[in-house]
Amino acid sequence: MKKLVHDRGKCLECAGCVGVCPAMALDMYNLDLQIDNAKCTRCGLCTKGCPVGALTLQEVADAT
Amino acid sequence: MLREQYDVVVIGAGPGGSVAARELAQKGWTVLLLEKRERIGYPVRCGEASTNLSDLESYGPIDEDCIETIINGIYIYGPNGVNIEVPKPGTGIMLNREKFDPMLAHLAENDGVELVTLARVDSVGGIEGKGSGEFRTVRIVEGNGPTEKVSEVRAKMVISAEGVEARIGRSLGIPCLQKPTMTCTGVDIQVEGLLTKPDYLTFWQGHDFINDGYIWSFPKQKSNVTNFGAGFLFGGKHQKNILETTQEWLDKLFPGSKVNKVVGGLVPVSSTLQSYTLDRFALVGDAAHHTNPLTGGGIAAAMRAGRYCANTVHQGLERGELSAAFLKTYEKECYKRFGKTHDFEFKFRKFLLHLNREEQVGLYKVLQGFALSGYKKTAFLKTPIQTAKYLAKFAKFKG
Repeated sequence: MKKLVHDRGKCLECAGCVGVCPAMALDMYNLDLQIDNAKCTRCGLCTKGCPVGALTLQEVADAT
Repeated sequence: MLREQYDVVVIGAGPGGSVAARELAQKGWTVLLLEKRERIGYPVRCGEASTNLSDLESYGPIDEDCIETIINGIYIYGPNGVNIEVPKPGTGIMLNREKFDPMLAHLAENDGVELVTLARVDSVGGIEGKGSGEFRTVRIVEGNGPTEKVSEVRAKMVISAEGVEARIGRSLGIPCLQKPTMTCTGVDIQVEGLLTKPDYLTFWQGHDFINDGYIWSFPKQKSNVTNFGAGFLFGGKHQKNILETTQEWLDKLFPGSKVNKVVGGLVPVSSTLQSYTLDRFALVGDAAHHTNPLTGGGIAAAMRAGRYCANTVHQGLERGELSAAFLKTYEKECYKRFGKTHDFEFKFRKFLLHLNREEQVGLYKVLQGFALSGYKKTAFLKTPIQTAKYLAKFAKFKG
């Protein structure tokens, strides 16, 4: 099972990922990225749209 | 303390939102301007090059602090050493958007706009009420975390200048999602000192550099730094990380540069959306894909759109008529003033990028001749066969 993982250290808070997410699973509250795992379809578009590679899909045992 | 009802609620205190809010407040309407970030204009998500000073000043007095550089021309490094120089005194301004965006928002506030920061819009409801009493309910979350406060206000009109995120527009069914190959992802590295000609915008474009986008160097004279950046179409051929790509080009072109900070951003380059208004709702700026699809510039277009939107909404509020059909006036004005040009530039970009290296060098030579002549159309007569060849190709090009 894959899960979207956000690296806060890399993130530029540009919200590009929010703009490209077709599932509306992402939102930026002030400078804080919110990921709604229930909505995320693991399509990976945000990992390509992110200019710095701060988002990655990673294999996890429990994706909830 | 928020009121229960406003004539207009504007979402997003970027340049487009602040201009729309201010111009409506100046006409006497009650306007609430919501910004979800705590600090307006921070972090910057932009290369900061914009339109000329007199254009900017048509929106109000511009603080000297916001202006970094008066741009007097552009220089483009093209493929195979075919470079294009375009001198144009006063053609643009390098802004300091950490100062510019708050300044515009405060101009709006001074003219009676109620500005609330750290306030995100959770939802905009459907049409309620009847006739001239129609409204939309805007659900607002103020603050962050445990101290957040939820409230609802009624708006006769909602203008959303929510940027590339465009969640509100999408939640109401407008197709404003940023799609692969129709969107550029970009990074801007702020470097110490002035890397290139101090009063020029410098670009590197084409197959020898980044063909799916370009590299830029925009000097900020007042701060003695340069915005060095790059952007390319996301989801296209170029799969490498844009930050790594930009850093590599910086090291190659200006080795030993001292980096101050890095900002990122997304730029819609699809040209303007077909439709971006609903009953009592309109998008402005990046959310409506008002950005220039060739240069990626979006500040001036957003401000223009903010103004045209305010004009139409003002007339609509006076007549009690803010249907989607009525708001088309706003879309038509945007199309006339910049949308038509953007559609042409969209086609030109696709054309330029699809050419192979040899064809691209030929086209750059034709354009170089045009620029050298001081943009005299007769310059094309010096290379009639080449010019005719590219014109014919372009006319046939379907994208």
